[in-house]
Amino acid sequence: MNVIPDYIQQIKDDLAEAVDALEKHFPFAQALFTEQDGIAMHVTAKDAGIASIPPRRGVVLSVFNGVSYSELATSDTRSDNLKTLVERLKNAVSSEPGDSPSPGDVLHADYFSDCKEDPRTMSNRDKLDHLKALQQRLSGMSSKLVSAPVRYSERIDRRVYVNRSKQLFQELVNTICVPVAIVSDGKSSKVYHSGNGIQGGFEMARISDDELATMVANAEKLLTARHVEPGTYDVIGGPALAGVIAHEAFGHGVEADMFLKNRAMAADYLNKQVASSIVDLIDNPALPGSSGSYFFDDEGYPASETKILQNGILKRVLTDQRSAMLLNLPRTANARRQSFAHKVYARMSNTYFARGNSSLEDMIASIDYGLYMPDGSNGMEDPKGWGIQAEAPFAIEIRNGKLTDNIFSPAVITGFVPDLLKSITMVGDTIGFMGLGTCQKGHKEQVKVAIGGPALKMIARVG
Amino acid sequence: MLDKLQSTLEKDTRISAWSIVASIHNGYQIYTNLGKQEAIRAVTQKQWRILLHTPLKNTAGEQQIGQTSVEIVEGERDIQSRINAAVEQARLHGLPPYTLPSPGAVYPDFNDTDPAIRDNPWKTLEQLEDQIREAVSRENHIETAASEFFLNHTALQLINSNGLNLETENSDVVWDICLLYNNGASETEFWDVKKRAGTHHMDIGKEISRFAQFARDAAVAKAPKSGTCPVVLTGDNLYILLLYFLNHSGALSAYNDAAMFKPGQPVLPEPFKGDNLSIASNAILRGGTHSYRFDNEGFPGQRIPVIADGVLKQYWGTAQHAQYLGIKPTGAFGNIEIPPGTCSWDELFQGSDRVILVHQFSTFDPQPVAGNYLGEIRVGYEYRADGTVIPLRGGSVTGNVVDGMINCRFSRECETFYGYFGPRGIRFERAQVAGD
Repeated sequence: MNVIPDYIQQIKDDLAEAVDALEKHFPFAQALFTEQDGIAMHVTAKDAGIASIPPRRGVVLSVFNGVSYSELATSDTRSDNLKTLVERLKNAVSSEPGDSPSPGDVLHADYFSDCKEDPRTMSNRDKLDHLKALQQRLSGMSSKLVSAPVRYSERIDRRVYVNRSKQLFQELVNTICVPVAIVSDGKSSKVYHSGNGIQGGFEMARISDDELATMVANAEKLLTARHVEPGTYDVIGGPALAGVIAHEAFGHGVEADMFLKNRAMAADYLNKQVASSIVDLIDNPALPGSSGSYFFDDEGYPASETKILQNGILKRVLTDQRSAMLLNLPRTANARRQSFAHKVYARMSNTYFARGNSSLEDMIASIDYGLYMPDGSNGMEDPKGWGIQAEAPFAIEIRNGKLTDNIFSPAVITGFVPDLLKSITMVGDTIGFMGLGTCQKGHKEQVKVAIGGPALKMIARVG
Repeated sequence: MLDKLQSTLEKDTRISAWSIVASIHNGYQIYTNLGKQEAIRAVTQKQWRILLHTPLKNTAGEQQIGQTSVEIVEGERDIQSRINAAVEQARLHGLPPYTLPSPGAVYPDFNDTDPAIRDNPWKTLEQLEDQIREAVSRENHIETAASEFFLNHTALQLINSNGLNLETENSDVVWDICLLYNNGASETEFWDVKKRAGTHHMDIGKEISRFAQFARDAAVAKAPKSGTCPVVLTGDNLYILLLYFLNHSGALSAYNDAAMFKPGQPVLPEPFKGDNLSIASNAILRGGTHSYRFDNEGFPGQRIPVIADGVLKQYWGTAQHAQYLGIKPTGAFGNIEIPPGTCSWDELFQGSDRVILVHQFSTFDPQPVAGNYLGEIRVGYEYRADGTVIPLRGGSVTGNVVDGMINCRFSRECETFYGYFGPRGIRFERAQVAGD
C-alpha cells in the first residue's frame, strides 16, 4: 500500500509553485496539505454501524512577513484556487524587515507507517464480523452487563509539507479498538473501557478474553467502590496515570509557545532541578508504532527524541518554528496542527517517563498504607501556576504492603508539579503506552498523542 | 455540487433513502501575544455529508435497511467511487427500518446568527481587539498574555429523498483569553475559553473585569481544607454537569438498554430533599450554543420538556432510535433548560460553616454514565459563616451528580452559559473536598 497517489504528487507540485510565488514577495513561505480518511465501526447487542470518517482535506498557505504569520486555509485544493490564494495573500499582506524562519536542510522524502495487519487490505465485512464476535464474547461475561458496545476506527492521515528546501509526504495509519462495559446493579450504572490505540493496523482489534474479563471485573468493582477519604497518600500510579502526569506536568508546561505569552513557569527553571533525580521524561515523535508518532512535524522538521527532564533537571523544551526563532531555543519536532484549518502550535507527541529499575511488587510492598491507581483517564495542565490534575477511574487500597479488596472511585491527584515529581522515590521497570487519547491546547486544537511510562511511587494529594 | 449529488443518489437504485447536509463554513481568526499580533488566518471549507439507506432482508426474509454516512469535500476526485463504497458499507449490517423526516413540519422562525460575523468579520475582529485593550487598560496591574478569537459562520442546506429542502445559517465565536496579574512580588494568570453563539452574546468589558478579578485573586488564593461541605457550581460547567441526565433520557441509550430512566418514573433513586429537577431541551434559545432551526436529520427546533419535577416525561431522540422505541422523534437535544430555583444567589452561600463556589475547574468532565464528577479548583471561593470570602485555587472537588441532585438548591437568578439556560448557581449539599 506504500504508493504515493497521483493527486499527492500534483499537490506537491502545486504547493511548491505556490511557495515559490509567495517567496517573491515575502521572506518566508510554507505550505501544508492535510487529509484524513478511514472508517469508524460500532457494534452493540442490538445495533451495528459503519461510517466513513469525514475526509477533512485542505491546504494552508503560510507566509511570514518579517513580523507575523498570515495564513489562508481552504478545502478547495484545486490548482487554480491555490493560485488565487497566492494572489490574495500577496495583495493583503505587506512585507516588513525582520528575521525569517530557516527552511532547514534540503530534504525530499516520502514516509509510510507500518501495519502488521493493514486494514486497507482487509474487507470491511471481515472487520465487522470480528468486532461482532468480540462484542458477543464480551456480552456473555457478566450478568451485570447492561450494554457492551465495541468501537473501532482506522484513520489514515496524509500530510504534504513544502518550503523552499523541503518536499515531504507522510501517510500514517492510526487504529483504535475500544470495548466498553456498562454494568448496573439496578440502582446505579458504571462504565469502564479497555482497548488501546496504535499507529498500526487491525492487530489492535485482537483483544483477548483475559483483557475483556479484567475490564468487566473492574467495571463491577466500581459498583461497590466508595469515595476516597481526601488526604495525602503514598501512591503508586500505573503507566496510564504516569502518562497523564508526564503529559500534564512537563508536557504542556514546556511547550515553548507558552513562553512567548509569559504563561510558562518553566521559563525560569531551565537547567534546574524540578523532579526527583531518578526521573527522566521524554517526548519522542519518532517512537515506532505509537499513536502520537510522525515522521516530520507540520513545519517540516524531522521527528526525533527530546529529553525534557534528565535526572530530574529540566533540560529541553518543546518548540515550533516561531518559538524557537524568537526565543533562540533549539528547534524540536513539535510543531503541530489539528488540520489545515487550524493554526500551528508547539505540541507534544509521545510523552513518557523513562524506565527505572523497581518491580511493581517491590513498590507495593514498600507501602504501609496507600493507594494503587493502575489506570489513568484525564488531566489538565497549568503552565503558569504548575498545578496539576490527574484523574484515575479508581484506586485500590494498599495495606501492609499488599493490595486489599477496597476500591475507591473516582480518584484525582492534585498538587504542585515539582512537589509531586520530587516526591517520586521508585520508578518501575516496565513501561506501557496509552494511545487512545487526543490532546488539546487548552480546550481546543486536538492532536493525536500517546502517553506512558513505568509505575511511579510518589506522595500525592488525592480526592 | 448539491445538484450533482442529488442526481447521483436519486438515480442509484441500490439506495432507498438518503439525505444530504451541505455546509459552507467561513472562519476568521486572530492571535495576539502580549499586545502583538502573532497571526491572522482565514479558513473556508465546503462539505456535503450524505446519509444513505439500502434495502436489505434478514435471514427470515424480513425487510431491513443498511445505513452509512459519507462526507464529500470540495474537489472530490471521484464521487461515484465514494458512493459505491458507501453502499457497500451500508450493506454490511441490517437494521430495523426507519424513515427520514418528510415535509410538513412547522419550522421555527429562528435565526440567531451574528450579522457582524457574517457580514464584516475582519472589522468585527478589530473591534473585539479594541474592546479588550480598552477593558484591560481599566484594570490595575493586568495585561493580556494572549488572546485568540475564532469567528465562525456556517450556511447549511438539507435535502432528503422525501422531498425535504431546508436552509439555515448559524454563527459562533470562540474566545481564548489569558490575563496576567503582576503585583510586583508575584505573577498570576486567569485563562479560559468561551464559546458563544455570536459576538452579540458576549460582553467583552464585563468578562475582562471578572477575569481580571480572578487573576488578582489567584495571587492570594490557596487550597481549601479537606473535608465535606456544600458546593455551588456555576458557569459553563453546568452544561456538562448535567450530561448524565441527557444520556439516561436519550432514546439511543434506552434502545441499547443503557438508560437508567424510564418514562413516568423518577430519575433519582430517592425523593428530592431540595429543589425538584426539571429539564427541557430548548433548541430555539437565543444565545444558546446548541440552538438550531432544524437538526441534522431535518427535525424542527423546538422546546421539549424531558424531565418534569423529577420524573422522566419522555425520551428525547432522533429518527432512528425514537422510531425503534415506538415514540415520536424529538430531534437532537438542544440547549439544557432548567427553571429558576427557590432561593436567591446570595442564599446559596448561607446556612453552613463554609460553602465552596467553583467558577472554574482546571478541567471538568463528569462521567455521563455513572454521574461521577471531579475537578481541580482553578478559580473558587470559600464563603464562611462569618461573612468572609476566601479565594481558592488548588485542591479538588469530587462527588456524584445523582447524589448531589437529591439534596440540591437552584438559584432564582438565571443565565445562559454555553448550551445551558437556567439557574446561575446549583448548590449540592455535600461534596468531597481534598485540599490542605
